[in-house]
Amino acid sequence: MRKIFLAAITLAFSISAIAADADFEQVRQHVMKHKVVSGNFKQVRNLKDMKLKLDSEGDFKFKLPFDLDWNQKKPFPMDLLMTPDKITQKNADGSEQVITKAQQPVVFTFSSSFLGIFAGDKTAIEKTFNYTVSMKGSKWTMSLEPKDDLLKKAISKVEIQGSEFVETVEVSEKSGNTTHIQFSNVKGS
Amino acid sequence: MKKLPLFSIWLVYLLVIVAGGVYVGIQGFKIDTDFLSIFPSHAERGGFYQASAQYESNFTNEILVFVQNADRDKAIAAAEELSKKISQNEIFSSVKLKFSGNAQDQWVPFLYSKRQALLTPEQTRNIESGQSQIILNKALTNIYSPMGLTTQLGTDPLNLFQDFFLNTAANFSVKPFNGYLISEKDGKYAVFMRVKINRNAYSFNADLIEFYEGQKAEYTAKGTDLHFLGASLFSAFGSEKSMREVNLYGGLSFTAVMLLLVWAFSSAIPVIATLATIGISVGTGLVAVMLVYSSVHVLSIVLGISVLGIVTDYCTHFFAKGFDEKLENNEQVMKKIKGALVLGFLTNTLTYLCFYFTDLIVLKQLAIFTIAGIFTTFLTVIGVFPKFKFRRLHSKGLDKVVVISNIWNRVGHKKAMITIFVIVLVGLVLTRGLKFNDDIKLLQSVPTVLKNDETKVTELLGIKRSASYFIVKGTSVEDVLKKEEALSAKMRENNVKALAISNFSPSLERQKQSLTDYQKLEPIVKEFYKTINYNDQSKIKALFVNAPTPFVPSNLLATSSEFPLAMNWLGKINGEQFSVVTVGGDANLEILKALETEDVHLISKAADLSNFMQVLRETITGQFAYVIAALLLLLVLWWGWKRAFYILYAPVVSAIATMLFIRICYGYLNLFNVLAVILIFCLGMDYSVFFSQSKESTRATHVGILISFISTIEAFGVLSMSSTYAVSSFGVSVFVGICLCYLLSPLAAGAEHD
Repeated sequence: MRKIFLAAITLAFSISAIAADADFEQVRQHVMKHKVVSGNFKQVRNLKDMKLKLDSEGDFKFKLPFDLDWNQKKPFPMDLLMTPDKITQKNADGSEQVITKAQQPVVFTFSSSFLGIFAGDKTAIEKTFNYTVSMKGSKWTMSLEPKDDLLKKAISKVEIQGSEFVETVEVSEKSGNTTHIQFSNVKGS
Repeated sequence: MKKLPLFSIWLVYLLVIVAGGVYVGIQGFKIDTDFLSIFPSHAERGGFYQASAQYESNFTNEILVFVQNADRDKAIAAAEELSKKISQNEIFSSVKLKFSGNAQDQWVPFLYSKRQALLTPEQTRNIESGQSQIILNKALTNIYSPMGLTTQLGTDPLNLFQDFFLNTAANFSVKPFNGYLISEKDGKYAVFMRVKINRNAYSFNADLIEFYEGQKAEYTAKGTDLHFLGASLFSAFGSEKSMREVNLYGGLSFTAVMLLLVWAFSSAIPVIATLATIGISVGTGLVAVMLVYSSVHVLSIVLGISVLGIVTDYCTHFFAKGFDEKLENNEQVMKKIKGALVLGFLTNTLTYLCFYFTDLIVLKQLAIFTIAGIFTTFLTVIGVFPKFKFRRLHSKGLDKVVVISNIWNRVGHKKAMITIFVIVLVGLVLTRGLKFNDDIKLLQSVPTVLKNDETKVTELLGIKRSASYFIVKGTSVEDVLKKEEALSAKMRENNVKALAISNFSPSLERQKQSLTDYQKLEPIVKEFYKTINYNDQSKIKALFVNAPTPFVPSNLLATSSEFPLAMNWLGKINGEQFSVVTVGGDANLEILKALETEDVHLISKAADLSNFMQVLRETITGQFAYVIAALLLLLVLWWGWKRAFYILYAPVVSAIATMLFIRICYGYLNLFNVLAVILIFCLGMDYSVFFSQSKESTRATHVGILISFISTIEAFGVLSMSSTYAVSSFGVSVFVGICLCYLLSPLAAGAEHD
């Protein structure tokens, strides 16, 4: 299940590289110059059955080709580092949980396919998702529905919005739970 | 009393053999090809061997296939096409391309319902050592992580099951897509299919190779790669190579030996007589073994190949007497060589008889096969050959063949013998004795194309399993599961991954322990919910009220026929319970061996075969001490010490010197070198006996032995050119050994000369 979110987040930061449509080509070319993207995030998880809302916030740094540092500050510090071969989750007590490509090849099959997106590889995203793109001025919205049988069981839809940078990501699970991530102060270098 | 003619005895004997052959034919001629079944310790291993055979029967006939293309749709279309071809081909019994996409939907929910009883060793350790806080922190991190799971938050807040699943389930790279299992690697899609062949995987399946090579070439031309992995393919390629070489070298050596005999004797009679004697002798040997054991092991026949050399030796020795100018007919010939033939027969029989007194059935069968064969040859030569019309052969130029005898005469037999013996002894000291290596891997030669396919298929499956595995035996299901758990724990300590049913269906004792430990997590769960501001106390309490009912492997296996480790649960065999624990990755065999107990047995085919070769080789070399002692006793009784020593000199020194030569050139010896030494020893004995008995007809003896020597080189020495290591090992040893025998055997005449 980790791969669902892995896919969504990776996708969010890599959207600029997708040349799915002519509409998107402009955006892609505009943001492809940023090798490093950083900023703040606010995440809200709505857990439908438990009628619960979980808020968290922090900052992130994304480096091409595939390095994500997700640094949560509230409600407690937690760090998530993602590389092509390893996902390291640092808990509040300092303990670490590591998932490697050798241990969980399926998880990394997904992450590897998303690596292609960073290189502007349209086919990489088409492997896993059916998608549509719509544009309103400089704003764009991309809706993705999983093709993959395993993903389909857990995730119903991913929606990403942005302009120069990604602004929001919304992941809708089959269970009815949703995760909304809002990015702010995003800078590219 | 009138002496019964030998020919009549031979005729009666032949009738008995034919009757025996008919009886065997009616009973059915069974050739046993299972190498491990003849391993003596298998009897002691009780049900382990049977359990191993049951486990392996699931996949020995199976071939795993990947159809790979950069385009997923093209890969699927090609897989569909190939699957159709396979289903229409009579080589195969089944092909499975589509897999139930929801197989996991059946057994995973079952395990989820038992999650409180499925704590991982790490979770148990944390709870029992008072470090449950670690579990709490992991759960909190997971719930806030953008990659964390929220679906089971209400029923498994601490993510215990997710941890269990990630740690336990085999992580195959293949994933379902529209009913297909697809692995993705290097930007290419590989569609998986499982194929079963319709035959014995270990028989020679030439059409399987044809299919494999044909399809690979056809699909490669279309831009699609095919990768196959299966025991039947390795076996087919191995057999094909051996068959090709047997046909080539067999044909070559047969033609060469026949031409030699026709040229030497200027007649077809010796050729036909020799061929017929070989046929009758080998047939008798087989019938004798079948009558005693009801079946004959293929290895007994392979080991008994030396009988061909001895048969040819007896025949050529008889016909070569035609070069003796003093002889007028075959009755005289027989009179001249009878003593040598009797002694040759006795020494050869005694040599092989020693192999009967071992624990190995294959050596007992070898003894029966060769003794029956040699006796038949002996009886045929003395009973039938004198009936052939005597033919005087041209003796022109024969003086040249006695050149070796002349050399030894000039040097002095005793002097030469001591000098050669000292040289061999020094060689043995300098090389620090003979060294043996019985590793079966040294004899294997897998074609590159299959090796590449094996690597590809393993990569695409994403999981590597050792070829070795453990069989666990217990008095009950619970007993087996407990033993599996103890083994898995020891394997973990050695950083070896265990794939076992008990990982998913723990022993009842372990389930009970997990449930007790789970109850200790109640305050942690409460703290977790408090942290995320969830306060439905009734739901929190419910998590600890309803404990799942205990379950056993059969409950789990009943949920889905596609449970990944279903084959590992063997059930009841001979009143005891058995299971298999598969070893993940490449594991050190020594480490695995150390984990064996009385009820946990490591099955490693390569190690078992190497061990078998070692036992066989050690038994044969060990028996040789008895062979030499028995022969010495026979020869001393027959001729006294001096002559006995002279006769034994050539075969013993040739055998040792051959092994020394192999040791120097190759570094070590193997079973096949030792087998060659048996042949060398027997022929060396014959040569020495014939020389020792030759007296005034030395020239004719020389010619007979020269023909036998050349025919042995043509028949066996030519095998040294084989690309199969085992065969070439045998060939090189025979070549070197027979040359030494030919050179040294005239020294046997030195007993009288000196």
